[in-house]
Amino acid sequence: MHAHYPPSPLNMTVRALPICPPTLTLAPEATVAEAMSMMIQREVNHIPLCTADGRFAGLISSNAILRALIPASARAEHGVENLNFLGDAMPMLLDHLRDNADRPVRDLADADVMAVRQDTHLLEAAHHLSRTTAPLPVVNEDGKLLGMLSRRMLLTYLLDKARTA
Amino acid sequence: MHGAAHNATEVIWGLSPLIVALTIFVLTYAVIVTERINRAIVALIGAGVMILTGVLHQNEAFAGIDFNTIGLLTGMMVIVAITQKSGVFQYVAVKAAKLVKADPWGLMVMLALVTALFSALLDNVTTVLLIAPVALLITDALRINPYPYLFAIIFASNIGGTATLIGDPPNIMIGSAVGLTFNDFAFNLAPVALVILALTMIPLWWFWGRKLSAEQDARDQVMAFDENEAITDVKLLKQALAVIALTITGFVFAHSIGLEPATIAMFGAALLLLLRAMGHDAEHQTEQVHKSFAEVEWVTIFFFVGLFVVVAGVEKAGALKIAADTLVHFTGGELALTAYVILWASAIISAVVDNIPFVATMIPVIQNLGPVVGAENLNTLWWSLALGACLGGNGSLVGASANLVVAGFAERAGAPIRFLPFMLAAFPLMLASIAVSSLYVGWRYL
Repeated sequence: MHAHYPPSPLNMTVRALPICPPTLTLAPEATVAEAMSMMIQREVNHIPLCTADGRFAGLISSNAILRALIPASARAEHGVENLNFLGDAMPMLLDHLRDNADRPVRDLADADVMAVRQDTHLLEAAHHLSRTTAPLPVVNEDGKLLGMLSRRMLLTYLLDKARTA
Repeated sequence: MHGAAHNATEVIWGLSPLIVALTIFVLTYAVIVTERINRAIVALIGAGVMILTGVLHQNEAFAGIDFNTIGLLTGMMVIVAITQKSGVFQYVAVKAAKLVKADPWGLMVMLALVTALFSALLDNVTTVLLIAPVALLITDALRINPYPYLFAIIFASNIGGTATLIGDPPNIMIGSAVGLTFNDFAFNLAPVALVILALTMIPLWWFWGRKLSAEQDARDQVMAFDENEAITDVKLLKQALAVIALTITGFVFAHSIGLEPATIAMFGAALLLLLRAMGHDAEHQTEQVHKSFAEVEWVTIFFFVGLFVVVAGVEKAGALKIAADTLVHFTGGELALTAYVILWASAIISAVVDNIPFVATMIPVIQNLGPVVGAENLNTLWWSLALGACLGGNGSLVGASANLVVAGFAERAGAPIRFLPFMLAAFPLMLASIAVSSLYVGWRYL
């Protein structure tokens, strides 16, 4: 059976969702080592970067950090695909970790990560979220970070709507 | 060859075929040089316009396409596309690095040798596409600057490609147009290529080699690499190596059994496809064949097709006869001077523009010189053209497709090669290789 939902009285936008306030952020100048420590301590995989005046400046992910640790010739397009012959290559991984530890996080941040506004439709937010593994930054008109919208929050909201309809 | 006689009324707007053909030719080349539009598109548009304006009929255009070159390139590309999946190139590179105990200078020599050898037997672009990533991986493990190695790989690929009929597109085109065999190229160009490779290592040692050093623990790490793990498919490896050996043997004996290289390469490709297909169901076979064909560099193939037609147009219109006459006027038809002019001009032009269109144009020009220098002396000019066009590719980053492939990969891997610094070192080094070639041509043929 298909339930029949009444037409939504309002245009459902990101504003309807409870987003996490940006308590966990880093300055773009923070080091990769700091980002790693924060990720490990707070058990997160993504940290938004914010300038001193609160503007969103990118997203650093544990994935991007890992990518910087594997050899460049393997991560580049048309690179070496099979790395089995390198053995564990621990010295190389640790070298790369040392080389990257003091770099500013903005060097490794995903530059093209999408940020949405509060008036973004839920469908569009869901579309963005479905195409990445990262949460979605929500910003105001001035580009200030209001918080992060997670996949789980969106699903919780939709499930709730479906039940109460 | 076609003469200049052509009914001008067949060309639109009442213009002479010579003017129309030359305009199309110059515009096509000018747009190719700007690199603003994909070169295959430009060449095909130029070819189409040659026919649409009535300079050529379609059957003349088709006759202008050298299907021996097309077949040889396509066949080799299919063979390499299948072979590379076996991991054999990584195997050889790692094995070579370990043979010299991961010594930085030894590694440079070995990578240059391996690149030159593969480039002589396969096409340069494929070779560098396979060697450059491994070189970067090894220098990464050694914690040393990859730039000198990428530089050496570029030089070695163009020098190695000079050595054989199948090593570099200019040689394929010359061999096919003139009927020079695999063995002709090996006897005439391989010795000088080997000497040039050896001599090139001297400045490389002076610039970089003598200053390179790697820490022992980094070298130990490379020594711990297990090249056997690089082989991902032993059965494929055996099949591919057997087919490559058979194909190269075929090239060596092709001429004496009356076969052309395209037949050998295409048959080798078909044989390898057959070996891969055996024992699989129809669906799997289709998928495998589809993938292998998809890896052929169709842009290069269609670029050739278009260029051959454009050059056939200017040839038919008589422009290349005029170019040959001008060259003769300049050199007085003297063999030695003509050979040196072709060698040096080819090198300098090939350093800044793609050598494929240049050679496509020069082949009919040199064929037109037969009556002047004597047909028996023409080979001297062919070797001069091959040496100039192949080695000239080393003069700048845009001189050969392989250079751009290395630069492109280096950039993606975060070790970009800059145009000007590369040229400042590469151009003089290229000129030195042409000086050696001049001595060789003078000593052996004049």
